[in-house]
Amino acid sequence: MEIIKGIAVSPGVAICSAVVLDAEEMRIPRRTVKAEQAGAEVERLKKAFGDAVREVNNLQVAQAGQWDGKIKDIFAVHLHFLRDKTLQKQIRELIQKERYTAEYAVSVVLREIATHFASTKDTYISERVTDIYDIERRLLRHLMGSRREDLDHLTAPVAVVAHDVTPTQTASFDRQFVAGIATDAGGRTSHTAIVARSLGIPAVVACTNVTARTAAGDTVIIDGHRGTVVINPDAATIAEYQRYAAAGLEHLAELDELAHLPAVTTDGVNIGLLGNIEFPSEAEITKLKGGQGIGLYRTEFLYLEADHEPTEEEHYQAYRDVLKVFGREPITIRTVDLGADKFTQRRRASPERNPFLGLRSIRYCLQNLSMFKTQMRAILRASAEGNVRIMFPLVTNLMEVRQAKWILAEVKEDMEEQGVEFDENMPVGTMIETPAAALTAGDIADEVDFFSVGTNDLIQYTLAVDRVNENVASLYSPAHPAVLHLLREVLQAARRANIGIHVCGEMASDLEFVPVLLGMGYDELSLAPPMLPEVKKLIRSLSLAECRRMARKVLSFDTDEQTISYLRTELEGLLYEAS
Amino acid sequence: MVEEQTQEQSFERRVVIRNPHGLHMRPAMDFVDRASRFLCAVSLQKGGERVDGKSIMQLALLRATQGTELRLTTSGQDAGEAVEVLAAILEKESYDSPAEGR
Repeated sequence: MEIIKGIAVSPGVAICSAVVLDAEEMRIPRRTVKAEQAGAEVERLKKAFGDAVREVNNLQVAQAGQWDGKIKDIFAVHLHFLRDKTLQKQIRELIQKERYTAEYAVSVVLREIATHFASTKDTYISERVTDIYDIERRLLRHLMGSRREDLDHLTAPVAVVAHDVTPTQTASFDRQFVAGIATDAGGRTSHTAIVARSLGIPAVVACTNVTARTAAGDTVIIDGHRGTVVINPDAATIAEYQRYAAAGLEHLAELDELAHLPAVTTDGVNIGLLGNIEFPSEAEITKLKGGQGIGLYRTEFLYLEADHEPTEEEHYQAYRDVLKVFGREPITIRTVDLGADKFTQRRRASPERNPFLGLRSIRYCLQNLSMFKTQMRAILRASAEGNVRIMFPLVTNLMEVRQAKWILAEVKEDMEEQGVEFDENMPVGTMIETPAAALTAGDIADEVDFFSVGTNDLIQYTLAVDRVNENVASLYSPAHPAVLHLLREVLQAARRANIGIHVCGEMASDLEFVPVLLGMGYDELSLAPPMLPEVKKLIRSLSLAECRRMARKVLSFDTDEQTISYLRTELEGLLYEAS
Repeated sequence: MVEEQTQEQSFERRVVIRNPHGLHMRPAMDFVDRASRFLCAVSLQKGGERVDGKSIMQLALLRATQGTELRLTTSGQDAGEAVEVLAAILEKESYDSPAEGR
């Protein structure tokens, strides 16, 4: 049994079988099998060698015309090694004597050989070290490939263990079968964390080497409350977690009863609670959990799931699906926020060196007008059928806002001429998620109808900390004085210009910080639907007067530690009673 | 893999690697391919180390460079023919021709 500590990013407990995705690094854990299974491992080894030989043979045939002498040599060498009887014998014996798994035995033997080769002064031979590692990788790929189930053919709930999970992968998660997620990398606001929270899947990120320490098929426990992953738990641990999970479910059931109650403070102030969604299917959950609309409808999935640019009709249908659920409640659609991903990078002549600060989001859209206009048309069409608002991401200057509005006006003109219906007065807003936008919020507020504060990126850019980098996870803190002061300034700018404003970053679902946000004056929060009941419960147990006091206090501190320690003490009774 | 050693005849030959690249991949592969086609057992010895001449892995581990002295031993049915053919491969001075695509 192995216990790994990581960062808890989505609550809940999962106890199930693990599926290990794409372990690129291929570090093989020391694994042994029971004596009776050694024979099966030998068979797997034989098959892997056979497959590897066939694969190289096919490669040679396919590339015969194109390869030069050197490459032909290299693959000839690989083939010789793969056919070497002594090599197979050595590995086989290790399996039989030590009961190692085929993967581990392959690794041990080949690395030993590689070490031998590396220790010679003769460069010709020491160059062969690369060949040995290559052969190891090829064999391991065949061995692990035969055990890896891809996520499309699941028949029972599994825990997905991966280095990280890409947006494309999460887009294809069937919630019925993905019961938990554990990743090596990531932070509290990495995409994995956000999706897991939205889908209500227990998740733990930044677990050192969980992919190397988990074998496909292992039983794992993912504890999304305490941020722990247990591999191959013993019976006692499983029993304890089952009890813990049952208690958690009871707690959730209690919370769900709050759905029809208003999110009002003890001194009678109403707080708007909305949902952040990525897929139309989450609209239902938002409604179920008491959300009064959508504060952030991320539209990137339309571009990532498909292999083509989405058509206007595809956009429109995705928006309609959400509108159907909410009637006249507001739906805030964010125009595509892509960059540093295969959609935008694929189209580039040369990859960007720093894509997160590069041509992405609204910048990308302003340079790809037909794509931008297509999305705008679809949003405008949807506005005829519900309370739709449009929002632009990653705004850093007023010119961008004016340009985007001007293009919107053009699209409206076209649609008018064509007799297509839309809401003339559809509200237009921007994300405030960069220091530039936050510091000039006053000017921007004069030209838009609302703000949406994206705390994830705002914190990242203000503190210069990569929010998905597990090495600096502790530096990423909503409690940093710079962040708190910026948030207050943005709120005040919105109030002065008399425009709407809500918070849509993960901070809105962070129970420690909700009181501070309310105390600063924020009265609308948009968050991952599964967290809505919990946040509502907190709001209903606080007075706005208390929140204001807390906000004033934390704004006077100079360090995040002071703020966090203060908040924890103040909220102790309220936050931790249920767990 | 058990090799039946019919000790009919045993042949030994001292060879010196002349190729400046030592017993690198092309001659090594060639050696192993040829050796494997013979019925007899084939072994190469360098100092105290003794390896199976039909295994590329073991041959490579010998780390035979230019000037290395090896003892080639063949024993079994076609050992006589084997020792001649294989010694010639080991003593070749240069291997310029690209490997034949097989």
